[in-house]
Amino acid sequence: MTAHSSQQPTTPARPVYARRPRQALVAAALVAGVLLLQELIGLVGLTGWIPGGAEPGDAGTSLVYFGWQLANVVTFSGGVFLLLWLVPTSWADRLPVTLAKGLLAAASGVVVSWVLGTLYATLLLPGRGLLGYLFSGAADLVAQTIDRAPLVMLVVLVQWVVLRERAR
Amino acid sequence: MTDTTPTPTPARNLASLRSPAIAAGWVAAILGVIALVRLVFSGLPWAFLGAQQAAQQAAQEQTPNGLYDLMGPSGFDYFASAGAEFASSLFLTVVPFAVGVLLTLWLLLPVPVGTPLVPLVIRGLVASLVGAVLATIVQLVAMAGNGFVNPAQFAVAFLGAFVLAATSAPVVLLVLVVRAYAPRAARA
Repeated sequence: MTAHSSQQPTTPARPVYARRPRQALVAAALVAGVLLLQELIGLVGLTGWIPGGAEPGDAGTSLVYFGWQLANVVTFSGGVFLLLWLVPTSWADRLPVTLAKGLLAAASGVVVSWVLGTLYATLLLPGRGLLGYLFSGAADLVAQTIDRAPLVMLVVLVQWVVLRERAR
Repeated sequence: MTDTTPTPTPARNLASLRSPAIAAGWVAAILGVIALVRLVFSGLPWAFLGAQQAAQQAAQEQTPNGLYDLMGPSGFDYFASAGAEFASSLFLTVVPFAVGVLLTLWLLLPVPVGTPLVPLVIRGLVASLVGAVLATIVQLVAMAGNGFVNPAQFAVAFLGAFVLAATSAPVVLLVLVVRAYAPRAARA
């Protein structure tokens, strides 16, 4: 038996930066889950602060508010999924690169949420028109990105840690 | 998660204060930047637009001394108000929260080198909760100083602590995980 023939036939290794939709989906789902939990806790805290207790109408108002927040969370997570699918996290990345990917994913989520929200408002809510809705949301883009970046960066970082442990 | 055995829990003395202090400092810095960005990018642009409108309205309204205020609120008024809001969120929320994180990571749940991911996350969550409770106590004391607190508000204020803990926990966890897995920490 020659040295050459003793080698096991190996399947070609998957490229380090191959797109992994499942991995991106898990990250986006984690982000969505934590954001929803934050919204629920925030909702309880908000109604708890109403002086004199909650009024009968407050529940309806809170539900409408929660519905909008839900739409925001789903579209934001969609943007996070999109970026992490296109630019996947890899164990080969260095720590700063991983954090930068998390920041980019947060920015992508905010932009997708803003664009879809604007389109929805333009098509279904009469009033300001496309440009009006675009500009009314634009001022909040940076604040929203910085606000949500720690969570997305954390999820991407945890995924990176797990991938590195598996690669060892 | 890691195959490294954690080193023994560090002693609770002044020498072991350095690492929790650095982590709490990072938490305070990130929360401070978030508060500042939130103020500048979501508050001020609209405040300035509102200032123009308010100046027009003010021209129509008589002031208490019988004169007409043609100027309305100036840009300086809005900067001063934004500065006061930032200082308030810094001293009533960010700093007490970071102190709570520091005390937890120093005295209650120190983080030894090589701590696996899950215990690290649990420590971060507890530190966030303690920080949020401390911030709420400071806010209540400040409100009581102004005579604004009644027993019902006092009881319900602690719901706010859970909101703060939930929204700030990702920052604490991010700092802890980065410090645990940064190349320098991995070599230690």
